[in-house]
Amino acid sequence: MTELFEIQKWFGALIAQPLQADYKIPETTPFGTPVKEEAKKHISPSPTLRSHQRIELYHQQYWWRLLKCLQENFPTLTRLYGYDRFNQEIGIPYLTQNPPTHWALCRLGQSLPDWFTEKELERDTARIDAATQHAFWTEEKKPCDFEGEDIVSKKLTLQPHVHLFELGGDLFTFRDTLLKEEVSYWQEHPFPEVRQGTCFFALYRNPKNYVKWKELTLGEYRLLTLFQEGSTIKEACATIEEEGGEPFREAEELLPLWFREWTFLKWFQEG
Amino acid sequence: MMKIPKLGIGIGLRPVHYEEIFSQNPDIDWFEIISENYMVEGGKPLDNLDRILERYPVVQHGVNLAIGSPDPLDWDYLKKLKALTRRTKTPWLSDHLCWGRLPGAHFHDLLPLPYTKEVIKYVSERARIVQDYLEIPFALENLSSYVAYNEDEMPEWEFYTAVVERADIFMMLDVNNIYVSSRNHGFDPYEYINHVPMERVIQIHLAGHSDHGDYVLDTHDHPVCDEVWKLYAEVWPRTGGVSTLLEWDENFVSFEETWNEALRAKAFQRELVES
Repeated sequence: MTELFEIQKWFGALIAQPLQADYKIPETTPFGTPVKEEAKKHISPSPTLRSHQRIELYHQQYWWRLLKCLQENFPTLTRLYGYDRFNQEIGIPYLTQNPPTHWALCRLGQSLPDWFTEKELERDTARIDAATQHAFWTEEKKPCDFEGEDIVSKKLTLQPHVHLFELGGDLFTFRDTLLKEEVSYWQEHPFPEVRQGTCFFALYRNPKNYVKWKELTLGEYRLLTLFQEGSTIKEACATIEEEGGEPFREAEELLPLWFREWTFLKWFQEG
Repeated sequence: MMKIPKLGIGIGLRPVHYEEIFSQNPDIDWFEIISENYMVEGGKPLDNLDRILERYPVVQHGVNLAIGSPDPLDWDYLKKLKALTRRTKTPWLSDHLCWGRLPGAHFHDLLPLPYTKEVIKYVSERARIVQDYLEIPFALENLSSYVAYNEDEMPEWEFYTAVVERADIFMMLDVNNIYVSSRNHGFDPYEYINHVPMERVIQIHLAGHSDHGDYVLDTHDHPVCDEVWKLYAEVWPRTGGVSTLLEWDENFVSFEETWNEALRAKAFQRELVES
């Protein structure tokens, strides 16, 4: 199948070239040849289109499909940038550096949060968008059953859909406000204020399978982080006692209430 | 030949229509799902699917098998696909006669294959393996295509027929795709359907497209055009009345409007039976 493979490699190289600012296929191919000549090697003209115009349709389809998917998976970022800036400043460069390698389109943006090395707002909103996607479809492991167990020595692990966040401001409320309006609205209106200061959040899927979020206290966040890292209740309590301060004071008073809520929401998994 | 049920007229299940479907329980014969949308670990997608399965027959249609790709069959993908068939009890499963992957790259598109004898052999062997593994009837769908290769040795209908017959699988005949490709390549769509072995057709797809004058794109965002209805009227009786599915994927209209468009197929069928 050498000939087929060679044609496919050639075709793939042409359609995955970076999309130009004018959304056209580049005039020079990755092989250094003019696309008008290169396309003729394997593509015949139609009654109405020349060879390079025909392959350009696939180039555009490749990019529009991926960009649309990325916009849908990162609705907050899309509202912050608008469609065109999102494509030019995020979508095209990110996808050029991170082309899809898996059949599941939901994985397309999995590296996007880390792609923002210096832009904190973009990185954090991308993290929330990505976590929302993940929580939507990821599996629910068998919930922890505390009946008849030595609870304090039990190693607790959070469900895969529970994502914890420590942020420099309340980006969850900010995100909810942005998502109430279409992308075009935010090109003409100022963004809402972000409540500043360190905030803690959990994003999770509730027992009815809807993705939700709630703000956490520092104590809740610290304890849940310890559980996420694999601590038992005994070990986690010992750690926050040793660390002292606000988390310890909160836990002393509220630990039973926290546990009641976390187990009601089925945040802990077996094993 | 395996016995294939005739399900009537269905529409593609899309998340934008869940609310209307769940609240109104419309009188739809069946739904087609995009397999990959439900090949997930859990959460709302599978919840919604299970609610649909309680009331309606569901048929799986895939977009990422990429049967003509040069890398080995993706067994992780196929395992997930098979697990989903157990959940949906789909009476058959379809995907496209295309390629879409290279080692280390996924194009997420239905890319056309060169129509050569060598490719027929390659694709049909893989298609037979897929059907044997899935243990249900497997059909390949003809594409809407925008390029033709210099290497082509035969017309599309000859290639399509040869793959399906050699693999001993089935056809998912997309009538709109025949029309779109006929416009893009300048062939007669009736010549296409006259050369298709209709006894292999397991299901028909109908959809709308975008006409750009010099070319036509398969966009699934318009009502079915008159020329496609005429082709459908030719094809459907010749298949013995197989299941028909209306696809609508962009510029969504209400569920009711989508269903009304699908009902036009029912009206066509009634007229054809009566005449």
